[in-house]
Amino acid sequence: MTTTSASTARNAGQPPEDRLAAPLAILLWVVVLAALTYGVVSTLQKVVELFS
Amino acid sequence: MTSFLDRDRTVAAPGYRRWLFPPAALAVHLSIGQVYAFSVFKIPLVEHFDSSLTAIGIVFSIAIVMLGLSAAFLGTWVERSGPRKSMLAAALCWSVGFLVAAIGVASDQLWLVYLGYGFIGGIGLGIGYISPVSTLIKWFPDRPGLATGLAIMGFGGGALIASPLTTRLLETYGGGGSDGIAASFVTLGLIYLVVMTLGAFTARVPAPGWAPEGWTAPTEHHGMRTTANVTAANAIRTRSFWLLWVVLFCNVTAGIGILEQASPMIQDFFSSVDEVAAAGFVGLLSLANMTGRFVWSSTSDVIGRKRMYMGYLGIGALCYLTVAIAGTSSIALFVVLTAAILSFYGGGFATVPAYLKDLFGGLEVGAIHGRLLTAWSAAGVAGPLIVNKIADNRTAAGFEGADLYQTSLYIMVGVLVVGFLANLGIKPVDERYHEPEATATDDRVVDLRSTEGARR
Repeated sequence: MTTTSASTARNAGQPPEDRLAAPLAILLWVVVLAALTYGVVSTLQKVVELFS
Repeated sequence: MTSFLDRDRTVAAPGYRRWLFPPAALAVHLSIGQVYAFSVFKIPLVEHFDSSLTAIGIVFSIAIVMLGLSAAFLGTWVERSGPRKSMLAAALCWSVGFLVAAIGVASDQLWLVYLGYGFIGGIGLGIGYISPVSTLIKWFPDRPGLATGLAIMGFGGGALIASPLTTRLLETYGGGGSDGIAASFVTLGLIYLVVMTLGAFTARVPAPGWAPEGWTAPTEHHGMRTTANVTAANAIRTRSFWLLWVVLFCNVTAGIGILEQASPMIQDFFSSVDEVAAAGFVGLLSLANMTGRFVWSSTSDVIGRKRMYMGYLGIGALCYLTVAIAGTSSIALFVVLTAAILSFYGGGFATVPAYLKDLFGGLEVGAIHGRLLTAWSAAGVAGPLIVNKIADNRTAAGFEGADLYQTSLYIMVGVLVVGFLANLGIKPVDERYHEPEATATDDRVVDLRSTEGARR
């Protein structure tokens, strides 16, 4: 059995929310890391003013 | 019939990796962390309602008090309902709070802002704050400090994101003035609803008996770490719980003492610092607060919770003392010391769930955490009260500059010493409070033997 078909077989009996859990969690990692980066960079721009 | 939101429906399927849960926790904490950026709305709200800073400040106070109360009273419900239902409840309360506040602004009814952002939103804060904590500890029984530090870092980071975002929204909708408040509230409410709901739907609890690959739960008590479990009802009957309450209260009071007055404080200490530079200082403290949550909490997994708090409180007291004695000698010294104090403040918040798990086991750690957070509410009132009252009295007595803060700095040293002594008094919980073994096989317990199941 190939990896894809094994994965398909494993997912077949799962409810939709379980099949989506991993992709959604990875998407959420991207969202929270992007948001944190935005926050940290914006703050560092202000911090530069303190020492300039 | 089990609902889609029930705890039973959130049990992770075999093969689910534990690192898929932290983003759900971060999504919630980054969203509710917006409360630390509420001050961005203060001046626009004062202008809009033609009100005072005190009247608008009440919005924030209600929210923090409701955070503590809802965490304390709803902690057991959160524990039993599981992360999906409780995160969704937090998402609804938090975003509905913004929408009700927006109606209040649009209809010029300040009481609706109190009700919306303060009361309803505050309940969302309390539920949201504790909702991922016990699940994180269950996924990371080998590194609970790292796991809770990661999520609670999000609470500190939420303000870093919300502050520039809010400024941008106010400019977009109302040219930076008060006209854009209602639309900004609606936009933030909708963004947080989407992000937190996404977090709720991805949340998974480990299957009963799951443990990280290659890790076995300790079978004997080791130092402060117990292998037994204590219920929330019994935990609040123990001396160690209340000593830890005092520890958290003292650590938060001392941190808020700086946080509350950061901008005017640095300008009073150094006449060369203007408002723009002071804003940079506030930003730096927020970064220290956020970083401390992750770094110090993770460190506590290695050196132990008690030693970690000895550092927060002992080194924190020395930092405060140095600021009081030599704070005016150098801007760099002042900034380094206050940043250290704020990193300990954040670290104290993030390490406390792991400390509770060490003392009381994992059975109801979320509910116990909720009850402990009343210390935060109390400190949220005491910290600013001490600093503001003393600064007002010193101003009336003719003092100015750094002299306005000398007395409160020495008081904070004393507060931290009290916390240090309370931490020294924390001992493992007496066996009479432990749950019998039958209860300890409940699937909510984290310290179970290693079995097959989800992988790292």
